[in-house]
Amino acid sequence: MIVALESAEFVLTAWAVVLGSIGLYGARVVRRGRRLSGRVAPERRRFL
Amino acid sequence: MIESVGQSERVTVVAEHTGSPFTRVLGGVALAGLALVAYLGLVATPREVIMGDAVRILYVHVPVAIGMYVAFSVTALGSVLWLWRRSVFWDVAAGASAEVGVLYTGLTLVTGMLWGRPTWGVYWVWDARLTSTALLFLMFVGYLAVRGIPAERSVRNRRAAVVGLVAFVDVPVVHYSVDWWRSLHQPATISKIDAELDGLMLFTLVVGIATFAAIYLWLVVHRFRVAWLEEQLDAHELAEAVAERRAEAQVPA
Repeated sequence: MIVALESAEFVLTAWAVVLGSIGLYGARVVRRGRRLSGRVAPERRRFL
Repeated sequence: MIESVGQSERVTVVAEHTGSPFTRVLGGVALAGLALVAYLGLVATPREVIMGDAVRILYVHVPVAIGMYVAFSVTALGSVLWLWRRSVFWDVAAGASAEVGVLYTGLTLVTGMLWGRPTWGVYWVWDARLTSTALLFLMFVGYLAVRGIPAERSVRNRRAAVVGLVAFVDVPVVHYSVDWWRSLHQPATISKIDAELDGLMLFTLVVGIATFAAIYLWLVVHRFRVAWLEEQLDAHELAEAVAERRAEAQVPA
């Protein structure tokens, strides 16, 4: 039982680290894109 | 970009973000996939006989590790194509993929350590797979640092492409390290999938791989667009500075 409980803590930590890191990184990239896109003229915004 | 044409004037409304219909659909698919993997991986799949609940880390560890391989392969491809075609597109794509690859490699290392503690009894051993992965992480952090060194654009891109290709040599080393050296790490999960995994566990792993691939693509597309905007701003600022200097030089003293 103790082993199972310890494993569960490692499992939840691993999932939280993965989802949290990807979420934070994604939010940072999107925010940066919002800040920059207003400063670039429409004709120079190829690939957007 | 949305364009609407009025009766007397042409009005252009530019969306101030890096999203598009494609990324919105992809993001929705990725979120739905994550919810499904979380349910299957944390609730529906059975515990493993030896590892117990720790096996549930498999459903995030293996997908981010595969994402890491894909990310650095795209960086290597982008580097080769930049050296061949000298196209800014491929340099920006290589850099965007490397940044997401570094994130995925960091997550591979952290989830591996969190899996190692309950199964091996230690977070870290200087085993061939773990060491070569840590080296890969450091080399691509170095690659990102090289991209950040101020230099003329073609010089910076060439340096980055060469460093990216040198760092990529470690990718097959990481993958085959468990076959080439005696390792505490288990052999490749994918090649032994049929023998090792129960049907629902295999399905969950496949859904996890597809989901983290969709997340990788979503992140890379957004990161690519941000880097493209930065390139355009740099080029515009440089052109403005040159024009200012020329104007100053033409003004009589």
